Amino acid sequence: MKTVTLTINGQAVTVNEGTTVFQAAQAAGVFVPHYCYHPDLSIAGVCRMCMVEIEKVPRPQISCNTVATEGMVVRTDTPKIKDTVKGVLELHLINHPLDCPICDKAGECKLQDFYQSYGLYTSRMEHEKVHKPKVQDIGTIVLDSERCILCTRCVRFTDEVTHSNELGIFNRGDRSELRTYDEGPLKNDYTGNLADICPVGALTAKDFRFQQRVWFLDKTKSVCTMCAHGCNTAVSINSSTKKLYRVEPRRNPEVNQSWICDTGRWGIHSLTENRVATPLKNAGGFLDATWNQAFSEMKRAITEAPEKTLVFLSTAMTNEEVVDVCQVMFALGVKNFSWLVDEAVVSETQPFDGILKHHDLSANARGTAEILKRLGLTNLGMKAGIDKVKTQPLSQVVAVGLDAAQGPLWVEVAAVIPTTTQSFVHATNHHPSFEAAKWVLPNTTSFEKTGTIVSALARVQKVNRILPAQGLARDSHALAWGISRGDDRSVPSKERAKTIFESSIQSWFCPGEKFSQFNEMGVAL
Amino acid sequence: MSGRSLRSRSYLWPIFIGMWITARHLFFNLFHMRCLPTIQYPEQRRNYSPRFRGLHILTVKQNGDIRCTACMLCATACPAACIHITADEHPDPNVEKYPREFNIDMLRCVFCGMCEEACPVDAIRMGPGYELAGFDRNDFIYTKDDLVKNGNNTLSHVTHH
Amino acid sequence: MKLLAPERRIILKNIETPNLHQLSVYQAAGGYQTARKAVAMNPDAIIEEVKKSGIRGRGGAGFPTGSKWGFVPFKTGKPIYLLCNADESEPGCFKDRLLLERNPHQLIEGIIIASFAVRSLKSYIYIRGEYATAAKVVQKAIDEAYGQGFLGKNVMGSTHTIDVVLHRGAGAYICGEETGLISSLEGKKGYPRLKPPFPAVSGFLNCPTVVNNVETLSTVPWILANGGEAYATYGTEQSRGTRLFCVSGWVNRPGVYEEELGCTLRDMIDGHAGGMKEGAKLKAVIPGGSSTPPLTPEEVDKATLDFETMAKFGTFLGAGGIIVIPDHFPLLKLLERLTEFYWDESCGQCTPCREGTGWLYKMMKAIEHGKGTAQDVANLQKTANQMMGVTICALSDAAAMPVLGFLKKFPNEFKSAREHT
Repeated sequence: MKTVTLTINGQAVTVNEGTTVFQAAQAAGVFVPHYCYHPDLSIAGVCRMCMVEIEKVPRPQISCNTVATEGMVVRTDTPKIKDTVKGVLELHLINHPLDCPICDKAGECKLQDFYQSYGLYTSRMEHEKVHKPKVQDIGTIVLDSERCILCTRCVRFTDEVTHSNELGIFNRGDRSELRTYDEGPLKNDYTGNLADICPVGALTAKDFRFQQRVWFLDKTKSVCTMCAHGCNTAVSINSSTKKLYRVEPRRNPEVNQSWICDTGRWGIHSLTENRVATPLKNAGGFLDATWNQAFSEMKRAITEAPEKTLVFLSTAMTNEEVVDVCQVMFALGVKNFSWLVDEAVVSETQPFDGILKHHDLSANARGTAEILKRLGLTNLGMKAGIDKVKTQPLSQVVAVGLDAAQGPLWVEVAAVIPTTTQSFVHATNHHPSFEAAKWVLPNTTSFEKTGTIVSALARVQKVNRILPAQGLARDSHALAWGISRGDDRSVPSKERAKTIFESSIQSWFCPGEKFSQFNEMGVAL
Repeated sequence: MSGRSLRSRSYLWPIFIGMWITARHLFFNLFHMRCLPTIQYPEQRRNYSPRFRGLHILTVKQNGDIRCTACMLCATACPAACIHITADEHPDPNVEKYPREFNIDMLRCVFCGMCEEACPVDAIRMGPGYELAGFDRNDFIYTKDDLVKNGNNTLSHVTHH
Repeated sequence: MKLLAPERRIILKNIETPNLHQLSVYQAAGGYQTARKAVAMNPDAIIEEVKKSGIRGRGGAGFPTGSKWGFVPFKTGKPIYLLCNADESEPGCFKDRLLLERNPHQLIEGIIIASFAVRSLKSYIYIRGEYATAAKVVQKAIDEAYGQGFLGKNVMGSTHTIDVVLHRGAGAYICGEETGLISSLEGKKGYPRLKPPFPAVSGFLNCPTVVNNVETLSTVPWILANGGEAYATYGTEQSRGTRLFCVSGWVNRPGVYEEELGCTLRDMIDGHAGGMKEGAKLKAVIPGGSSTPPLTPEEVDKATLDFETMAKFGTFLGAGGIIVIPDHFPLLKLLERLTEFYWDESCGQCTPCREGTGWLYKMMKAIEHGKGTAQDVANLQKTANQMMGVTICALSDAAAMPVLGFLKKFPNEFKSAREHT
């Protein structure tokens, strides 16, 4: 590809031909203020904030729609540009209601940010502002037209990404107003992204609305485990209360651009609520018990009849957990392993809606299958495994690492439990269908563990621990370790994950990657 | 034994001097009641400066509703982390946001007045009250109603909205 | 006083002929002869002839028409569209209306020639919604032309196809901006588009598109009939040919007058328009439609109507709408009305224009109603400056320029507001 070299603020930068001045500036590390530009949407060029001065061009130009040419001399720091940007910013703000105290965007609002860095003037607006409807319910999102700066990011999103076209700008001039057609609600599965891409507080998510001020939140990079796509996320928790508040997409052009679906975003509540708190032993009814009891019983049960034991491996487990569980079980003599997955859809590698959503809800089906192969173990397959339990060659079931994201699959597993002599279920949430299980053990969610997973796009990505384990929940590393020893003298799971990563996963899936500094964007398998 | 005088050994003389001083004050105060430094609390109370930073007040609007919009700036500014607000959607869409809960842990509070400084809508003020006592730690967690009561429904300066 | 003699007219040559809008009358006056000649020519030769004439677009921007046609990429495989901009909405301009209502066939002939030159098979005439009569007349003329085989397949016996469709706008000023017009014609909201890409490369339906004003296209038959050199003998060095001026305001004979470029503004007002009504004194002249900065009486005495002189006085020839303002007329009222117009017509796409036009109007309203303050006057100036040259189309500039012009040239009008605090 041909390249061009241009100078931005005296700094030479070489970019591919066809790159805009805006992108070139980004590449050079020069920040250009903007509202309407978004890397994953078309160019609108309406906010007029990204003005730059180009040598031999008399007027300031918007950088987002100006293609960089060879030898171009661009400046973003001249007094003229600063003045122009300040002037445009002032016009953005003259009719803004300035209700920051009750606006959820405050703290991450681009109007606030740019006022601090480019504005700092005293308001000259002494006339009545333009008033528009506030607090409009449009489904999962609350729309405040008065705060809207009409950057049209949301309109372009529903047009270009979801193709659902619910939003439009109505009327003209300063009466222009963002609205949904027919005043109806938003009807796509990606509505949460609207609140993210809105640079101001016009679109706020009902789910997060008034829950927390953004400056109390800490973001951690992670990966969504609600389906096989493996969208990159940034998860926010309140650092002092350790409460999870929201999941936002993290831009990865190879995986999810800047988006995640509403299930991945708001499904977190089902993952964090109604959890199994302590190990539960079935004695005609579930009673609280200790991990120590559970481990010793499990070890005894498995060592007594390893050939009659079937281990169901949840595909929500990380690669390291799968290796750990398989190795421990194999050492105890178990030879029957089956993954837990919807076998009808597991082979789909592309999202069914053409955007991000997969039918396959297992975050790590590919990794699980590959590891079993590498360890030389046979994957019975879920249907065959269940059949074997029903027809009684196998009478003991250990289901490891069950996660609420895979909830629908639980019912199938649970259906065979009554036919077993004894079964052990390690799951995040309790489920009525576990009634016949001998033990129900609390598992950690994907927010409470660290490890790598392989997405449907055959990409190895790292899930990061965001929260401490809830209650007495333990991840599958602790489970495997406990079963192998028969007591609950646990090891730090993270250390174990790291050791396993370095001894096997690294060389199998992602040579050269380090566990502690895993590539944020993931690596192709 | 030697070296100490009888006067000293009898202890009476120092007692007499002590009694004399006491009696002098007693009679002085008896005839100069105005100069007494002590007051008859709780019947009598001191006047504090209007800038005194006492127990917090939550102000109210004309319609009696609490002025606070739950913007959390006071909680952010608080160096003692003693303000706990739970925001919620107000039934009236014109109000939008309000604090469903507004608790101040007076045992943590250092009465610095940063909350008052930070408030953009004159919803919280440091009031004149200083009587802070209780039988239980929970008594020191002042709720929204306690704080409004602290100020006797003080009207807010801010009139818009 | 030197006025253009009626027999030397170009665009309004036969305008006084009764029933000129009928095909037979137009043909009797020599109509469609040039189109017949053109379809037998080499298209490039036509473009060359237009380039030679030096004619610049008559819609307001004044871009050389020949060059515009020359930019069209003919070999992309995409259809090329010729759009005729008949969305004449600039306050003070009514020249296209005259051409559309009185001489539609001249326009159609111009479209045939231009289409042939730029290899366009389909043309649209985007006519202003309010021009109901004109739309009727033009539609009838198009039908007549189809009936005679001047339009449609095998135009005038050639192998060329030229279809013309009349499209009525819904009454938005911004649809007169060429890319706004394209958006509107595509059925979208009349939002002007970012350039690049320019319409010549990617315009209507993302195909190469030429947008020309009614007057420009109406001039083309004459240029081709008489040659580009003949046309270039009219006017001045930079501003070739003649053009239509719409004189309105406080004059005895308001109307549309054809005049050579470079004639004096005084000749136009005192000659063609018959001088000031009731002997009133002149206070100001807006030379090119509402968006152009005004001229003071001293400047009017010195001004000639051509692109370069107007630029010298800090204003533009625009679309030729000369508005004559008498001494007794309150300029502030006029300016308030202008800012209201632009506030109402701003499409709302770019922030500076959307917010700025509204603010200008609010300030002018306050000033006009005697409630303005010195702060308002200062803000007016600053805000108008902030709106200059920062938006997609020129509406923001169009709204700001008269404000700046009046502030600069008639500061006394704002005196009472300045003294009010």
